[in-house]
Amino acid sequence: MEDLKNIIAGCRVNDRKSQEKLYKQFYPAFFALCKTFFSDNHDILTALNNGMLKIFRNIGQYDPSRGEFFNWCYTIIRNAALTLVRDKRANLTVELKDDLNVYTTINPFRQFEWKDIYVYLDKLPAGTRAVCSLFYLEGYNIREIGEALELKDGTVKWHLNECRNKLKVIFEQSPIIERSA
Amino acid sequence: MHDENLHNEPLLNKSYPDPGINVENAWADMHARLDDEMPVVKVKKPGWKNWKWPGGIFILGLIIATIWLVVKQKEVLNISMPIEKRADLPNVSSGNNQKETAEAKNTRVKGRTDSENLVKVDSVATFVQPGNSANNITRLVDSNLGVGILKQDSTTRLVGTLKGNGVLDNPDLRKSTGLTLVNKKRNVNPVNDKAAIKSFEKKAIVPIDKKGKKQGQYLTPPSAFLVAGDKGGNKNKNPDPVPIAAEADYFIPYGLDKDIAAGNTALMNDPFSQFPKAEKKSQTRINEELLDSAKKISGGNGKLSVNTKNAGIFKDIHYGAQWNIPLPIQGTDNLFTGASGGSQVYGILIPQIWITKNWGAKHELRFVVDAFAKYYLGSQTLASSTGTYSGTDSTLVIRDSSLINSQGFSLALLYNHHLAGRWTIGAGLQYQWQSKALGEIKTVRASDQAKLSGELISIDKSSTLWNYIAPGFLVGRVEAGYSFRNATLGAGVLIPVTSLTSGGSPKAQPINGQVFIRWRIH
Repeated sequence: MEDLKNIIAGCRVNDRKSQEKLYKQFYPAFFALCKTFFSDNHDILTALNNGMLKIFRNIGQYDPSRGEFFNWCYTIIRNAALTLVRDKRANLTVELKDDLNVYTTINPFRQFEWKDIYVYLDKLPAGTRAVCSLFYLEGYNIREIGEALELKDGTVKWHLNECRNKLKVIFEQSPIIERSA
Repeated sequence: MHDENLHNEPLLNKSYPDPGINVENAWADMHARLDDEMPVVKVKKPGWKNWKWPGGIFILGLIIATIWLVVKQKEVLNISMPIEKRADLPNVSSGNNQKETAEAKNTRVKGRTDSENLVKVDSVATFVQPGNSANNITRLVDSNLGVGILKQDSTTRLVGTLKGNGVLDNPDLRKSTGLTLVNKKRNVNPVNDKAAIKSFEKKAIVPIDKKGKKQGQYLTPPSAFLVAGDKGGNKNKNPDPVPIAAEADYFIPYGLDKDIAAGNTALMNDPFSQFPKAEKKSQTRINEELLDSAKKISGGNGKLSVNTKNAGIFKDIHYGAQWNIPLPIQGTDNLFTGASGGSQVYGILIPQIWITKNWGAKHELRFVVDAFAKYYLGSQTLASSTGTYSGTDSTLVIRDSSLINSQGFSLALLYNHHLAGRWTIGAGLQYQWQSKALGEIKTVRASDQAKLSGELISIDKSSTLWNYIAPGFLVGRVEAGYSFRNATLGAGVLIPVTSLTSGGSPKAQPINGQVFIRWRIH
């Protein structure tokens, strides 16, 4: 972690080498994070680099006493990804059905590896994918998802239900779920 | 959050899948955006330009000192050449049975002004300090004339140890205002015997010049020390203290300890007998005495020779170690914190290594190597920025990256001058290469400078902040010390001539101080 301190100090003075080190060190994690929201690599990279730019701009505001640096960055990247999701919100504004409550009982992704998660997420529509990722992978509750994506709770629930229904079909057809079972 | 555990996982250490985009390509895109939106203000890189002058001056000083040493060495070797090889000199080496009459030798010696700038005996006499007993003067002249060299001019003298068998051991030519034959055993311990010193003082001599006026100073401690010889303090073996020149341009007995050990006590049974009470003599009378002494040479045993062993540049070279204790001039915080951020109290136990070359009793050139040199800056700001405390706290704060201390390798060259007594003063230059540093990143409230947070960081050459640290810096060093036996206790002040920082950060030339203990091993 001593090295990370130096990298942070370098980033504070806008040093490219330090920024490069930080970027490359966190890149796999943040790419994986962004990939839970987007299937397209271009969108992933856009979200990731938007977030990294925010990090580099505001790294002077990072206070070690308030938490881990990685978590601070992670939050910024996720918010950057959500911003991009909102910008692409065409598929999010789906009519809601407010009677769906089965989404919290099982996390369908817990037992899978990243590559499997992506396989399933790629089969979901973009809006549903974002809601699903926030709910099952990021631990957001419905209200928080609604705030993050500027959706009504009912819409979030609809997406979660949609996610469940689609995944159920997918799981039934998938050799992966058979192995897991 | 409906599932906090998802956030508490060690996310950074997870095994992530290979990204779909190569990291280099991703960084290239990021780099381009950074160049557009956060262009880098070019930082002046520390390079040769920044340290060529201090480094050049230091190297030049070393070269000049080396040349001086070499020239001096040649001079010494020339003068101390075995007399058997010198055609212009009387052949009085061991095994030579050639005899000269006293009259003939005296005549020859008196008239000698050869091409090698040898001087007349009369001239030699001029520089012999009066007040010595006849025996001493005789032997002094014996050594001079017997060896057949000496005295290029009034500023040169021959020193060495005249052994009981007539061999001049360890000859060395030195600058002097008087003729001195010095016991070369400078590293023997002075005798801390007040009674002996007092007795010695009573027998001090008063040198006088040609006009009969007092010249110079009395030969009294601390101009001279009483030494116990090389018996390791075993008084039973050599109970008599031996006077030895410490500062001196005056005649001092020589080789007494060895003579006594070898049973050659005929020359000097009583070391104090060589120092009779002060006695004024006219220069004429002195010269007469010297010439009389010179005449006695003719009856010499013919065994005089020059022993060049240990002669030359390696004479009068000493070495040892020095421990420094930093003075908290730049504050007591982190006084013993190392560049890695941890406590390094043991650092003061790591000594500097020094080596000296003496010229005469007063002049000394000291070369010091310190592999663990440390320099304190207090808290020198390297880079600073102003902003809000955090995204949710709009308090205006200043974030500083500062330098606390620097660690590296240093070389120093100092001239030391031995004052009367045991005091020494010195001055010189030191160049320190910086290899690591201790820094601090701290956040202070802009309104009242209250420190909100701070953490120590280790800065090395891979760190970005290293761009703000000069590769090396030149320091003027002044010191004073008091010697006691083989140790010297003193204090020094270090004043940077060049800045410890570079790369556009504010200049940093903080004064450091230290107390030192210097130990002479040889």
